[in-house]
Parts: sequence; C-alpha cells; structure tokens
Amino acid sequence: MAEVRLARVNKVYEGRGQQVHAVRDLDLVVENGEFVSIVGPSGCGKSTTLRMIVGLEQATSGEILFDGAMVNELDPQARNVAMAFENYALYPNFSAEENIGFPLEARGIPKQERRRRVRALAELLQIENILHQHPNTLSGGQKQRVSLARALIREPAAFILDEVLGHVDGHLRFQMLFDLKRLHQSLDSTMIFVTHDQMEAIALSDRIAVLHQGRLVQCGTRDELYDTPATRFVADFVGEPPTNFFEVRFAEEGGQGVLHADDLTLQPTPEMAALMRSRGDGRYVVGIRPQNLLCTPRAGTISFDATIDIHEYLGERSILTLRRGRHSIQALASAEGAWAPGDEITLNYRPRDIMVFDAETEALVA
Amino acid sequence: MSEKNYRLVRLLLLIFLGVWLVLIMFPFYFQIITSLKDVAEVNRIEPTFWPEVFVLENYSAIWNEPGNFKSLIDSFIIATANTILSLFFGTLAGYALARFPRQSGGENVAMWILSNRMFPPVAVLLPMFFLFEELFGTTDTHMALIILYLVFNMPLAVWLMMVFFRDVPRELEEAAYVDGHKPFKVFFTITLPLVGPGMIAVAMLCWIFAWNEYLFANMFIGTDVKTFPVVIPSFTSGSQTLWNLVMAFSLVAMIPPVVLFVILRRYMVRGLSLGVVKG
Repeated sequence: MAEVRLARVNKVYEGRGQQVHAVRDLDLVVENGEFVSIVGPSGCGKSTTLRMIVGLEQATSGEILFDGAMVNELDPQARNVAMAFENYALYPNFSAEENIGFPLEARGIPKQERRRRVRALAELLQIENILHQHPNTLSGGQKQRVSLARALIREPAAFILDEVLGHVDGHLRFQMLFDLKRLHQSLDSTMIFVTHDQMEAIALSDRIAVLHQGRLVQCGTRDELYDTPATRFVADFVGEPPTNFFEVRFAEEGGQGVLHADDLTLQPTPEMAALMRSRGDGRYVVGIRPQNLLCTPRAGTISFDATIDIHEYLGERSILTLRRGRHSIQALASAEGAWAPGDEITLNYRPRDIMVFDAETEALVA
Repeated sequence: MSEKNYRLVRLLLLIFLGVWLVLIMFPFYFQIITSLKDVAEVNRIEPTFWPEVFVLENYSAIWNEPGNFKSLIDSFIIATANTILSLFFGTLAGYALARFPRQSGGENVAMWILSNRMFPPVAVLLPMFFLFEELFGTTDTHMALIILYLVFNMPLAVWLMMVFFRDVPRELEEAAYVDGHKPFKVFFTITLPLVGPGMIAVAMLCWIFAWNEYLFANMFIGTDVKTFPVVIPSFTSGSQTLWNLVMAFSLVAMIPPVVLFVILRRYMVRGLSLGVVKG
C-alpha cells in the first residue's frame, strides 16, 4: 500500500483547434490506507484524474507520486495499481476464474497458486459458485463482484474504483457499500473511489474531494464539507435534500446586522454580522440546510412563517417544500406531523446554522 | 389483426416467397440439368427442361484436359494466400485506425484506403500488367495474382476490421493494461478473440472474390498458372461452346466455397462479444 500524492497536476485535451482544460492545478494527498472519494458532477474531471493516477492518461503537467516516487512516466503495467471499472470490463472470452486470475498471470505466478488465491478471494466475496461461468451469463451484481475480485487479487499500491456502484441498483447497492467498507477495513488499503453520488462517498470515505470544473474545490471529512463548505457549490452538492439559498442584502437594523431576502429577513450571529460589517460589502448568498430548518422552536432559534406547497413522505421523515414570498424553501420534518398543502407553519433556525457566501466568488465568508 | 386477415397475409407471403424462390433457383436448376445433357440437346433451339438422356460422362470429360484439375488447385492457392495476407494487413491496419485514429491518419486515411476499391478495375488493367511485367519479369505466377488481389481485398479487410475493432470496448484493453499485461499480449488474448467472428466474415468475402476473379486472371496468367475462371471459357469444340461441360465444371468449382461456408458459418456467432460491458 502506498501514499498517493498529486502535485499541481494539469490535464489539457487538444481537440481540433480547441483545448479542453479537464483538470486544473490539482493538489491531493491520499494517505497510506486512507479511503478517499472524488466526487463532482459529470465532466468535472474526476474520471480524468483517476485515469492519470492509473496511468491510462498522461498528465500535461504536474507530478503524480506513489510513496514519494514519481510515476508520471510509468505505464499502467508498471504502476501496480488495481482498478475496478464502472462497466466491469470483464474479459468475455474468459471464465470468471480466469478473469480474476489474469493479473496474477501477468506476474508470472504459477497456475496452482493462482487457482488457490482465486478460490480464497472468491470465498470472501461469495462468488465461489460462479467461478466457471463466463461474464455474459452473470448478473450485474455478480459481474461487479468478479470485477472487484480481479482488482483485489493482488497487492497493489492503491485501489482505484471508478463509479463501481453506478450500474448496481437498490438493495444490492447497500450490500456492495457494506462489502467495500468491510474490504477496506480488513485490507487496510489505500482506496480512491470516484462517484457522482455524494451519498456513496459519505458512506464510505475517510475524506471526500469535491471537484468542480476541473478544480479541487474542497477536500475534507464529511463533517468539514457539511458544516463549513468552501463554496456555495460544495454546500449545494453535499447533503440531501440540497441546501436552500437566498440572495440577501446586509443591513443594520436597531443596532444589529440583518440579512434581507426580499420580504424574508434572516438573523446572523453577531460574529457573522461583525465580519460582514467589516467587509463593507452589502450583497451575499445565504444557505440554510433543510435539516436545520426546524418545525418546533428550541432554545435560541429564530422563526419565520411559510406555506406548505408539497409534502413528500419518505418513511421516517418528510420533505416539505414551502413558499415564502418568491422563495421556495425545503425543510425536513418528522413524518408524524399532519402536513397538508396550504397550511401555514413556523420554521425555526439557529443563527449559527446560516452559511454566508460571497455573492461574486461564491466562497464561504462565515 | 383478425385470424382471417392474418392467414391471408401469411398466404400472400408464402406465395411471394415461392415465386421468389423459383426465380432465384431456376438458373441453378438449369445449370444442373444442362450439365447432364448431351451436346446435341444443349444446342437445340428449343430448350428442354429435363434431360432426354442423362450424360453423367460430362463429369469425367471435364478432367480430360490435365490442366483443368490443376486450375482448381491454383485457384485455391491464390485465394487462400491472398485471404491470409488481406486479413493480416487488414487486422493490423484496422486496429491502428480504430484505436489510434490521430496517429494513423484517422478518417482521411481510412477513406483513402476504401477509395482504392472505387475505381473501375478495367481502367488499371493494362497499367497493372506492365507494372508487374516490369517488376517481376513475368506475370504468369501465383504471386502476381496474390499481390494484385490485395488491391481489392485489403481495403475491404481494413475497413471492416476497423469497424469490428471499434466495437470492442476500450476498457477491456485498459483493464488488461492495469492488470499488468503488455500491449501485444492484450491484443492477442483479449482483443483478437472478440473480433474473431468478424475476421471469419472478412476472410470469406476475400476468399470468394479471389476465387471467382476473371478479368485480371485472364490478362495476367494462363500458361504456367491457370485459375478455374480462365479454364471455363476453354470448353469449346470448333465453333461451338460445350455448355454441358461448362456447367459441369462450374458446378464442381462451386463445391469448395460452399464447403468453406458450411464449415466456417458456425464460427461466425457474435454471441461471445455480447454482454461484455454493462449488465
């Protein structure tokens, strides 16, 4: 296992007379034994980053280091990383057993030993009974397990998992999440997991790197991303349902700072107000997570009224979509409440749950 | 659709297919019966549709000329050698064009290769003849036709193989690289088996073309080497064409391609490459 370090890595694709800057000045360290997820919307450069780590794509500039040794010039064969692909990429003319043993074949391991190791791993992944089958006779979940087994069979510097749960649905997805987590704990290996689904990333990772338009916006633990998102984009991307945003004006009223969003007035903490006052800039974007909009008041909460538009029942909890002036606001509520569209209810928030972003740069202010 | 209409449509379909079958099979039928007639019956102005006398000796008479059997062997050598070369070059070039379009010239080169098949062969018949004569001293060899037919078969092989290789998911090769295998090993163990059925289809097309080609064969060879299409017009006696022998010989010449088709057909299953990616 190794530490994987990317230092000021850039990737520029040259097309017919046009350049696409897919990855910009990326700095990222994945510690030895750490599970890091790279998340972001389609086209954010996460797959390109992965392919550069594996060696399927050359970095235009910057350094990729495994345990401090630069691997930029090495072929994928020489980098000793294992990769599981989104669409499995199983060799159709080989049986599952041959598929799993193929990486060992490249390392000149004798047939008997290969067989033994494949069997042992198959037991771990509960695929012993399909080892003789060819990929086209396997179900999606079985294919994914075989593909994972092929990645796990050797002891690589790092495991690279590219959207491996992308085609797995529902119940099986939970099982696979569990399997991955268990594998990581038992192998204590460096794992880099790419996904567009932040829930998967949150469930699995030690740290999460958020990419947006080829740039690393923030890399941190789930709590860091959740509580102090570096930009409005991170606040929007991480968390379900998405954060409520309001364009606000900072004003002084009765000796304290308030935030006006048309007819809705929000109350920041005195520290936030002081900071905004010192910046002298009036326009901000404010975010409040639906989880932080409470239907029952608590100590220190401030309230405002809103009208229920839609009530989505999600089992344990409900998502309420509410209207207040021209704002549409989402809040999480207990499912036991008798919520009916048209009802006017009071929402409560704590001033410290407000996230204030710069209106221009969209970076977190307070 | 009601039961009655359904039956009517089925009936019409069967009638159409029946007529179609008769149209298609009649020439073949006429070839078979002609090969069994005697010369007098063949040359009668009013044709007969069933031989009055069955002359099975026609099938031994075609071997009277000692070069006739050898012509089938020559045809086989030329068609097979040309097919192997076409496939070899076609596979390598097709792979390069499919996987490295930028480095190999891409669409433009692929189009240029294909365009070689577009000119009328007659236009280059004489230039080719002089070119080969000048280069090799003689054109009356197997090698002359084997090389010449590459002009027609290679573009086809390159183009088709390119399309087949494009269908093979790139991830399979990338997965094998990451697994630690060298590009050559990956090409032969992963990629090539997947285009196998395509290669067989290409081989058949190339082989049939080379087996049947007449125009260039007639011009280039004829003394030391003879292919069977050159032999067929030689069944004449004085001023009359011995159609019965022509038909008998061409029926015999049909056997190798038919056998080849029957043997190779089972390898053409596309099934293997299905279900490679995604579930």
